[in-house]
Amino acid sequence: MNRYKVVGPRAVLDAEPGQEFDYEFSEVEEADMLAAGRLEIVPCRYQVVGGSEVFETKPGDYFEAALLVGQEAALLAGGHIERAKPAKKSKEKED
Amino acid sequence: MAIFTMTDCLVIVNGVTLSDHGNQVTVEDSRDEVDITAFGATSKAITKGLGDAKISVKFFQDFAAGKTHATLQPLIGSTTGVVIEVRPTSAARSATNPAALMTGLLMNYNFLDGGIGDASETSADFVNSSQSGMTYPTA
Repeated sequence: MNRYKVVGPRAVLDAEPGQEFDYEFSEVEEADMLAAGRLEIVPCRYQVVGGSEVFETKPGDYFEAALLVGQEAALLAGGHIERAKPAKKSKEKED
Repeated sequence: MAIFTMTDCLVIVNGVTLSDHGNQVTVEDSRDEVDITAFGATSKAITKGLGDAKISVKFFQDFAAGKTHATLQPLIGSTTGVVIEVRPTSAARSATNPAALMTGLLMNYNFLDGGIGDASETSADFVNSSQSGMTYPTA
């Protein structure tokens, strides 16, 4: 499930323009919505848990990215990443 | 300008750096040849048609978490294009180390390919899946 922001002029599902919502679109549905300019993906925080760098982030470290459903599914299935809780703001300042 | 020898190429598949398992890469950026020869011509006239792009990489197979199989196997069943990036060296993108970048679909994945005593290599062919084709960013 991804988090999306309505960026087009019309509501999507029950979300009005500017609002964010969580939903499980299929790969095709998501691609259509993004191509039509109705939604954008809200970046999510991930931890690299596999043995290779992911998005130039070393194993064990965290990164934020707006991944497509299919891209995220492939990385999760491959044991490369796990979803992480959002960083605390005070922690972000320290980083 | 020195002749370039490939020793430290960077290969990133769907964000995963797999350079340490790759040993061969081919980047193809092509245009269709369209014949526009009309009656009365004495020579063929050819123009460029649709663009196409393809990146082929040979990897050493590795079934450990986060390595070759774990990266490629989920992509063979996926219909979402993923970003494939290749750089001449592992250094940051620059004018002298440009990247070749495309969004592609994995169309072939050889799970096992080799004979007795061979290092198990697997080849992966990514074909273009977006209108941007192959790009060569330097930053």
